[in-house]
Amino acid sequence: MTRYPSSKADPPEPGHERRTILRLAGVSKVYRSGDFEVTALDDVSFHVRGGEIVAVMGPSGSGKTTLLTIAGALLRPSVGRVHVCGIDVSEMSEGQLAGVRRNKVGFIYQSFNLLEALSALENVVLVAQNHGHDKQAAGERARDLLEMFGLGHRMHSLPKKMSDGEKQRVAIARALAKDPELLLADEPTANLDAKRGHEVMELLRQKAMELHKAVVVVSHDNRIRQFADRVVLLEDGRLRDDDTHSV
Amino acid sequence: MLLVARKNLFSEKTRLAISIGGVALSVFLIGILLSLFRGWSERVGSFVEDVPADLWVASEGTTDFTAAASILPGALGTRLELIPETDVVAPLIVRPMEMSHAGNDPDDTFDVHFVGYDPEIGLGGPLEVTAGKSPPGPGEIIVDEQMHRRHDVDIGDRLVRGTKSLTVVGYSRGGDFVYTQVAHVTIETAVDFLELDPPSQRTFFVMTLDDPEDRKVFARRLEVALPGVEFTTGEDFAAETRDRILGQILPILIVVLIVAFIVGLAVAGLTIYTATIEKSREYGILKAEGFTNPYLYRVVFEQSMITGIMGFLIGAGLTILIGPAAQGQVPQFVVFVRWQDILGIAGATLLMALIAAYIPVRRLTSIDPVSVFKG
Ligand SMILES: Nc1ncnc2c1ncn2[C@@H]1O[C@H](COP(=O)(O)OP(=O)(O)OP(=O)(O)O)[C@@H](O)[C@H]1O
Ligand SMILES: [Mg+2]
Repeated sequence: MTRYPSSKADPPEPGHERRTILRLAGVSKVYRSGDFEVTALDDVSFHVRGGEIVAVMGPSGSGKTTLLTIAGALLRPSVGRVHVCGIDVSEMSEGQLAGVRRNKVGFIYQSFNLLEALSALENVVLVAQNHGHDKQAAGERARDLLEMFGLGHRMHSLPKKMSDGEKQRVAIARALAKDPELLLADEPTANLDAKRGHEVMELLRQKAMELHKAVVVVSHDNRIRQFADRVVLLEDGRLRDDDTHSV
Repeated sequence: MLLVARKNLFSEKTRLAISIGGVALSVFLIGILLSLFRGWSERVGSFVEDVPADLWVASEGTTDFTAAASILPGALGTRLELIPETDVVAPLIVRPMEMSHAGNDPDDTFDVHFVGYDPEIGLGGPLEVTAGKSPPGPGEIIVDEQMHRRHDVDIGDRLVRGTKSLTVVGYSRGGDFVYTQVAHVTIETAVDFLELDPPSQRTFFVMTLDDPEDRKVFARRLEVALPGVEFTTGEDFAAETRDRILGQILPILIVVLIVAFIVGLAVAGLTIYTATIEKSREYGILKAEGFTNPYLYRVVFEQSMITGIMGFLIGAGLTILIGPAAQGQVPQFVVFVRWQDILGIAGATLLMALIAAYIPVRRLTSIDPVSVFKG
């Protein structure tokens, strides 16, 4: 496994949950396709600490997904610096970025993105194993996580046999399987009805707090606010603090 | 083996069946054709190979048994006998022809490789008589048991060519050339039956030497001494005979083998390719989750390998089972399944699986993991 330099880590702070897990500094992203240029993010600076849930709200096309994929080491910024767990990922190679995603970042997607041919358990085991757990440890970890999300009876079900709420809970269990410090959720409730959406968000909030994860939830749905410690607004790629709700 | 590879493969049973079926069919075709080819090459060379002659003597230009365009004067036999190194010299009159059953439609013919030999010497005669009498008397013929089986030629039957006929008095073994079989008569009967003029003319002489080790050198010496006469060692004569017959099917065989390989490759390649394209999004998810390209390559590669191995096992199994069974039903279906060939086909299947995996593998590289964040 690759070791990343930790020299750029934040100064140690008292208490694990206070550590800055994600830090974006002056991040811009410009998409170029032919003669067109789209500035999806414009000089965004932003950080999230362990144990904190931040909601990023904004209308469609405001750059939420772009922000999330840059924060999750999937996309490199055009300008600016991105630190995940103190590691500068802004100029890493594809392979190094994959290493960061494998160990540090858990994604939760709008459309769940479970592998269709794999059972709930296998979906979680797969990611745990890729993180470095051996077969047995991965199995135990996956079982524990699924139990924790009330899916003990669904371990061996295929995604197509599960309700959307269950699928999203499996997806959250999968995101936690690699024990990441950062959880990134893109519209996690968009495909769920209000009740299920609420349940899933409540579970996510509880577990993330218990496990001291840093969480970013990106959404245009106002109901997300109630689960967040902090809300920031994104408009046309620019970030501003939310006046109605802040810590 | 990777969980994802196995699960993806077996979750699409129909596609898996098609792609394994395609490979199996291809392996089976290749296997059967090769075994058939091996069987034929065993068979078509064996008569000449089994005649215990050190040298075959023919007129210039003839180096194999099938064409039998050779014409030699009978007196040559006496000259050859006088050479001190010679042990035995036997004359042969050989003529490929078509014959029919007496009483049947005269157009209802079958191929006969007609051989007149000298029963006193025996060399070039029936290799092994399995039924009836031997040697044949005047106007009598001993046919190969394959002729008996395939063309219902029984002891007591009369075989006709033009106005002449011969009575079948026995069966021999070892004279099957697949498309024709040998039938033996005495030299005198042959001269009479073919109405040879002059009656002393011969097709071949077969010789044994006191010191067979010397046969190559001796053959060259004789060729210098006797211009217009060709001396060929027994093994070369057998090989030439085999090559002459198989040389005609070999190019066809190679084309069909290549086609069979391409069919297997196309079916396996297409199914694995479509399976990969269909799962593009899932490969994107794996990338987003931090799985590396080599991991994804392995998934596709293992799927291709499993398909290849299963297809091979079924195809090879069918070859081993059906080949010999078909031989029992159709006499021309002479198969000889060699383990070396099966090994070679295993190699070909491996190559098939590798190529089938290559194209989709390249597609994997271009999948953008960011795309999995879209709806
Ligand atoms: N790969 C790309 N190439 C070009 N432009 C892109 C690309 N991805 C996003 N964009 C553009 O960048 C802007 C921000 O897109 P992004 O997907 O981040 O917005 P979003 O807030 O997630 O929108 P939504 O709520 O619809 O998901 C949009 O104008 C979009 O059209
Ligand atoms: Mg989006």
